[in-house]
Amino acid sequence: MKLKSSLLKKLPSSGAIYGIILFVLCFSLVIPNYFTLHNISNIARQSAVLCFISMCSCLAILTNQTDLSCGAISSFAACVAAKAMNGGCSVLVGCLIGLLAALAIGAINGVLAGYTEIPTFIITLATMNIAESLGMVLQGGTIHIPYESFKLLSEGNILYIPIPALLVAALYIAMNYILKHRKYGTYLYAVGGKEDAAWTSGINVKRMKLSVYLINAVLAACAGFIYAARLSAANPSQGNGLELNGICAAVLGGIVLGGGRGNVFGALLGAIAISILRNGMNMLGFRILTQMMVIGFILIVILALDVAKKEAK
Amino acid sequence: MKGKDFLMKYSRIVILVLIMAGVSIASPDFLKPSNLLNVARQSSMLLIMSLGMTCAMLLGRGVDMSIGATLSLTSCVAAGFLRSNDTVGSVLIGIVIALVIGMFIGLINGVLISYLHLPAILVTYGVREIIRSVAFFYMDGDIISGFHKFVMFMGSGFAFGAIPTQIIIALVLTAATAWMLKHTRMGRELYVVGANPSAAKFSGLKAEKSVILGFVLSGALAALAGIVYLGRLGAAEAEIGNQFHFQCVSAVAIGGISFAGGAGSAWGAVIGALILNILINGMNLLNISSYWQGTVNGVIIIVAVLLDYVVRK
Amino acid sequence: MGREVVLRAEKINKSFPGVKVLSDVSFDLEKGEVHILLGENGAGKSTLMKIFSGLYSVDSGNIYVNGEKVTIRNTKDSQNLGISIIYQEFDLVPYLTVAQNIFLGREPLKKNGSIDQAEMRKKSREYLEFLRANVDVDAKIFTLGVAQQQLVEVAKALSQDAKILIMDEPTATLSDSEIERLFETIRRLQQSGVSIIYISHRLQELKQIGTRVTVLRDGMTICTEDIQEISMDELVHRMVGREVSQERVRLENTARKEVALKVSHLNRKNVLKDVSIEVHKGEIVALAGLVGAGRTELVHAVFGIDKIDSGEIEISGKKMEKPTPGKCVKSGLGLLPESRKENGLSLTLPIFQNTSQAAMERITKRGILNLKKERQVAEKYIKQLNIVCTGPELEPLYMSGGNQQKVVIGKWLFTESDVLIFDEPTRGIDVGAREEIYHIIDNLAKEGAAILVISSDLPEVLTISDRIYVMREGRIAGEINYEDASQELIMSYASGGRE
Repeated sequence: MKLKSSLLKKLPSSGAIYGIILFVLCFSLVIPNYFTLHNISNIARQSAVLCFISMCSCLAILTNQTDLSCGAISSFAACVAAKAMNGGCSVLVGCLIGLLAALAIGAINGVLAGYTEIPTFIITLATMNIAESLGMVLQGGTIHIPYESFKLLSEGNILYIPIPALLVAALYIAMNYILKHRKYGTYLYAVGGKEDAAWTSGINVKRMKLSVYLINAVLAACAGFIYAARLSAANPSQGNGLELNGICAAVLGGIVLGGGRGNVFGALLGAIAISILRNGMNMLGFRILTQMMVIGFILIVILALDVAKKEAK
Repeated sequence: MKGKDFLMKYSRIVILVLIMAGVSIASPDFLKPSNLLNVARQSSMLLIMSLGMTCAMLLGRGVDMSIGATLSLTSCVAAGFLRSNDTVGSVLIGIVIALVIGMFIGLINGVLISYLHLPAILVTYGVREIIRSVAFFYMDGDIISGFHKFVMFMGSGFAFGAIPTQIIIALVLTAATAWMLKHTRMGRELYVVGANPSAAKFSGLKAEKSVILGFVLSGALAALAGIVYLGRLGAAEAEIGNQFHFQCVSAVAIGGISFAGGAGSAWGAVIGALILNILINGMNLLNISSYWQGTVNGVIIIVAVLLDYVVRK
Repeated sequence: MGREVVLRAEKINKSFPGVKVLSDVSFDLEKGEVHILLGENGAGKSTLMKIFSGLYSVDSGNIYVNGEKVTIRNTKDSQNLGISIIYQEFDLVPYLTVAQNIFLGREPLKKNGSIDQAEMRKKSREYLEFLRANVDVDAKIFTLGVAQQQLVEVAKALSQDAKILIMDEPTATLSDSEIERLFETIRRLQQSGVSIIYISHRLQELKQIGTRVTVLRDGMTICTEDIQEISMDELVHRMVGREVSQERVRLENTARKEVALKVSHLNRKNVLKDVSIEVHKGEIVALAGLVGAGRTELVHAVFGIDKIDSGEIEISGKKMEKPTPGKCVKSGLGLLPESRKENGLSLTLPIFQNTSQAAMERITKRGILNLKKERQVAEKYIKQLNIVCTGPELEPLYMSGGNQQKVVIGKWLFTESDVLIFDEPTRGIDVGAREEIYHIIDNLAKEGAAILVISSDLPEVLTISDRIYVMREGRIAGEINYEDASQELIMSYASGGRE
């Protein structure tokens, strides 16, 4: 009994878990051979990118901000890294340079978000286009990645487990530890939950807001690298719309707009749910556009439910 | 204090003149009548859409991200009625249908934003994805071309011998919007609700009604812009206007339409659209890659909004 | 007394632009006492508290903690001196747990730098047990009731090693049994050597809990007495004993004309209980009471801003079905809200767009505004109400409080409403403009309008009203005709000294 109740407590109050069950059930009924090892590992590989991006959305929403730039930053970081690798850098150095580029954009976001009164959606809307355009400037389009080994980041396995899945596991462990067990995490919740109370408790709210965008830049860069590894190439527009999927995933995972509520596990589950949905739609031969439409619908429905939930309280 | 407002108003004209001077020094071709006419032509469609964005933004609930996609969908649907061998009656029906669809999209945006208290940027982003894909389904990869001479006249013809019709249409719509905002009760309510929704409510006004109206106007103007654009391009395809929303945000930001709501005018949008297009034109004349346009857009938004906030303090 | 003084303020002066809030206020707090700070709204209590908590700095005067002279520059300084404040609005993060809130910003850490959850929960539990609070340390704040949240605030103060606890109206939102438990907690704190400054309006509870009482009035210390040695009547007298400086604006008005606003048996859960009032044409009725008595809530319900659970509202004999602000304005009811800047004005729109806002149909013909007429309207009211401004284009953002209020008045004059409700019409307005506003209100009534004025300023109530309703805890506690009215009588109704 005790086990059951503690298990129930562990269940996320979000729609994500139910979404996953629903999607998996539906797809397994319509798609023959849905439960093949190949497909499951495929989902694991595909969902990694969205997991990182939904973590960006999660952190932004938790602190009552918006990050529309994370998708564009992810492709920008990948493009810079690819360009550097083409210029003779090793994989590691290339990625580091890409990371620095992402951090530069993140710093613009963060400084403006923390130290000016401009609404964050405008800031990140602007940097979103800056990042995409700078990515275009680099080479004017897709940049091929010269290293075969880079592909491992997306396609490789360690002990039969896809590397992207391991990266997501690492992401979960790290973010969960930070949010639950470090002061920083508690302060994030405090800033989003009640900024004034955080301020009077001596928390540097401005610096917290800045830091969120720096972390998001790192997470977005990771997402960009994994994405680029899958295609062996980086494209400045590859991250278009990812930010929206990320917000969708985070809200589906129980991160409440307005700040201060939600957890890492929920955000990741949300990302996995959306990825399962996209994977299934792919297998059913739905076009990208149908997928966009479905995501658009889901976003609006989730937002509406989110509001309904808030008003019920 | 009053001086500050004059500064705000005329500073934009001064900036416009400075930019024109700068560009004409950098490239003597800029001041050629053909080039100036070209700039004006390019600005006119952006201007029509920015007028709609102005109406939506006056409410202070956020930007309308769906107008680019609205333009795509409405012009694609209308295109079928506007063929060169269609009757004038059919052309009029096509235009009316475009307007109705545009207003319907605005209605959905407005209802979700006002009655569900959802953030406009997320709602319109979600709606954008949906209508984008609807446009794709509708066109199914086709391109429609060969339009009625009336449509061609609107988009690429010349009135009174030498003046491009689209410039005249844009200016007429600007004057009409400016008049509507200043002289009608409907327009005034947009300002009143945007400046302080609570005071509007205490004055007995219905804030929800105005919010819906603002977004309906935004959809209608996007539809009109779509018709003009068809005449300019001579062809309709599903992705036709998808990236325009961002340029509109830049134009209205430069034009002094406040993101906080309740401040700004249709003429501001004119200046915004001109500044943006002169910069782009200057970059073209100087052979700067068009890939930089996004960066210029983004930086302009940040600088314009930052200036706005600084001056307001 | 020979007891140890833990906090002493000497000759504190504090001014805000144009207003002197505290003049030569002295105050001392002994170890382990509950020192009650009593005074009307605006007497300077909260300013004094904000000085102790470091939110405001003093213009002149000294503060001593444990005999040492100190300067309190910010909240951190104040915390380090062992001073903790519990505001009416709690400073807790709703979605964090009790333990996380108690230690927010001062989390105990393990050697590896992560939060020592076990230690944090254990200590939180200890503080709560000391307070005999039955609160789960892992519960999220938003799941707790007000009384429990208050205890968490107290526990947070204790965890900061607070020796001086300031409580601002701690019983305002508690039930009787909860108040009893709070008093027990306070006594326990007292015994452990914590000194408490207790701000309250509720006279009946002071004797139960207080040691000494200091009365503030108009920014001055009136007296400090042993609570047991002063009678309630005497306290009320000292609290309100301000001389009525103004001449009475209203001339005697006894002729009752027909009822213009009638509210019957209005109920709203937890806010309004069976409220019935009537305002006649040509009459000025005041709605007095303490802050939180439900006055603003009442007029918001009448005006359709808040929903009502039951009850009826009639405006000029016409029953309002499901009132909304729009319907009320149409039926001839106007509300000049308490917070001008939030609800009364569009600060960034020019004056003429404000004055026309509530009666746009009067300048509209077939949807088109008559801008010329709109300007004339604004100019008329600028002249009539003596609004100081550079012209009708000026935005109220750049105007003084008094002139802003006049713009709001102009806006409602233009509606030519039969019933006008003024919610705290002179708050934050200097004396000269006050007089003008009184005369405007008086003239309105003379012209036949029915006026309801909410005011926390007792001399003001006596200056302008024909009749007074006093509210307490969501009810009408009493109705007083002008002839019988006195500050003492109103205050005793308002604070529950008399039923």
